[in-house]
Amino acid sequence: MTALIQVDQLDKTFLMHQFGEKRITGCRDISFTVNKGEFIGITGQSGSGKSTIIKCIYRTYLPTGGLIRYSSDHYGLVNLAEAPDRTILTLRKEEIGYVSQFLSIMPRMTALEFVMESLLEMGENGLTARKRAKEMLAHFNLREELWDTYPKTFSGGEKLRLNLARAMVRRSRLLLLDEPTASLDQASKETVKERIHELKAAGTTLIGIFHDLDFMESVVDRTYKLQDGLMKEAQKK
Amino acid sequence: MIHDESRPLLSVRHLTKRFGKGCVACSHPEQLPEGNNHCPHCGTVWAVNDISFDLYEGEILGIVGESGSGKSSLVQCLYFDNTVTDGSATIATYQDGTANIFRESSQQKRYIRNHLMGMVYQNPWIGLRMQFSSGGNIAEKLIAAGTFNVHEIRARAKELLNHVEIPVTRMDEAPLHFSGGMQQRVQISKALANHPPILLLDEVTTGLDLSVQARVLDLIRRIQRESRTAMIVVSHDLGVIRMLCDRTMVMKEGRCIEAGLTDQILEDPHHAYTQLLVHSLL
Ligand SMILES: Nc1ncnc2c1ncn2[C@@H]1O[C@H](COP(=O)(O)OP(=O)(O)O)[C@@H](O)[C@H]1O
Ligand SMILES: [Mg+2]
Ligand SMILES: [Zn+2]
Repeated sequence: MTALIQVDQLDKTFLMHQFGEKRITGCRDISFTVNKGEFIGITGQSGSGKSTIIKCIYRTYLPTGGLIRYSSDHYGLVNLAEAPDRTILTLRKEEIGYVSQFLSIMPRMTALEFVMESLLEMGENGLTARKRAKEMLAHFNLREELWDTYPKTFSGGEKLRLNLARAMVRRSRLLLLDEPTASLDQASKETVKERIHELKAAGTTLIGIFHDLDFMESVVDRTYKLQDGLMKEAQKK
Repeated sequence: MIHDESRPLLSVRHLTKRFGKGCVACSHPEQLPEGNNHCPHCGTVWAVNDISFDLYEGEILGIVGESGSGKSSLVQCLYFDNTVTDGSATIATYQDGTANIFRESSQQKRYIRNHLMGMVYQNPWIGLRMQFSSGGNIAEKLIAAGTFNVHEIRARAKELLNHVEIPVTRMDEAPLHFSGGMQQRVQISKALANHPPILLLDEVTTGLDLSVQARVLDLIRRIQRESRTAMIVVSHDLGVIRMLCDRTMVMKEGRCIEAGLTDQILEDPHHAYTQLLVHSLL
């Protein structure tokens, strides 16, 4: 087995200047390895640092210490904790996808355009992008009458499925998911589960935070539990 | 001209712009008191203070900071509206990136302004001749770059106005009578006339009504997607920066205090001033 990503003694501290230089710990001394093609779940109480770890890998947060060794298709071995911004942007475009627990939409861009853009950015031609975006929206059971409207007024579950469609239409090598099922009903969860299984078959590696533990058990190979600041591999049931 | 994508298109190093003569007390920027760009002895303003950055093909780089932080001075230096006090800038497709454009002759600078850069000002009165027709404004720019054929000029002007969604029927009207949003769109079409690889946009949506602002921002996004023009977007508004830019530089009192991926600047700001800015975001 080859490691796709190796997190080594990752630290993230936030220094809040407006609050008397207060230091807030996001995560401390986190180490774990994810092999190529593996699906990993991270669990832990709210506030334990799960999202912080994911955001450090995506580099929305700049780590304060430690290494994140990522074996890239494009660059070979890269330390995501310190790689130049331009390298991160290329990796986000070509290799690493992320769906956050807070949903992003682009103002005045229809649902269909939002998913298409993800493919156009990668150089896909317009016709193919449109076709694949429509397939993805259909896969995620987003009602067709919504495709040509602005997502601003979508329900939480619809926005979430849209964000998942946008991320998954790309077939990333590494997909980071932060609570992708938080606002989904049972039927939508089943759809997401199917999509995740397809990604598995396509060779994607996944690191996910799931609040629904049954759901998590049904998709991941291994689980890490964040407890008292430590990352421990959970025993297989 | 094709160029290697991993190389920056525009490289700016140690750019400094001083308004005033300077004195011994402020002759080295690092001697200025922290948090101030006015020399207490001679009153000189160090508007842009030792700024370095790279701009790559197809990207939009954001520059954010409060008014007075030096953003406009910086882009005006790049467009030769201001003469720099110190520093260099090179363009990969100009003299193979070996020439400091600030040191070039005025004739060469004119060439760079007409062929390699476009500028859109916050105030359309600076960027446009308000009494000329819209078509005439574009023609001026085309002629400056050596296009003299009248048919060619009219065809290109129509194409450009169309592109920025100004009805071609209004081509012969003067921007003076246009709304603020339309004036900005005419300015953008003029700046794009000669397909410059670099576009500088200085607070182009500031002061416009929200719906008008939205249309101009959408236009900028569309241009970037379709033409891969590299842009520097200057704004005091983090909302504008968030919508347009992958990378962002934060300026305060002439200095770059923080630079990074835009989502990182917004979610994990490091400098006290950036934290204040982000927490002021609506
Ligand atoms: N951008 C930030 N600035 C300051 N503190 C933060 C930031 N992001 C997270 N934190 C803090 O870091 C800790 C870990 O948060 P987070 O990673 O969101 O936890 P989880 O995802 O496990 O609920 C919390 O105390 C949180 O308030
Ligand atoms: Mg979380
Ligand atoms: Zn002085």
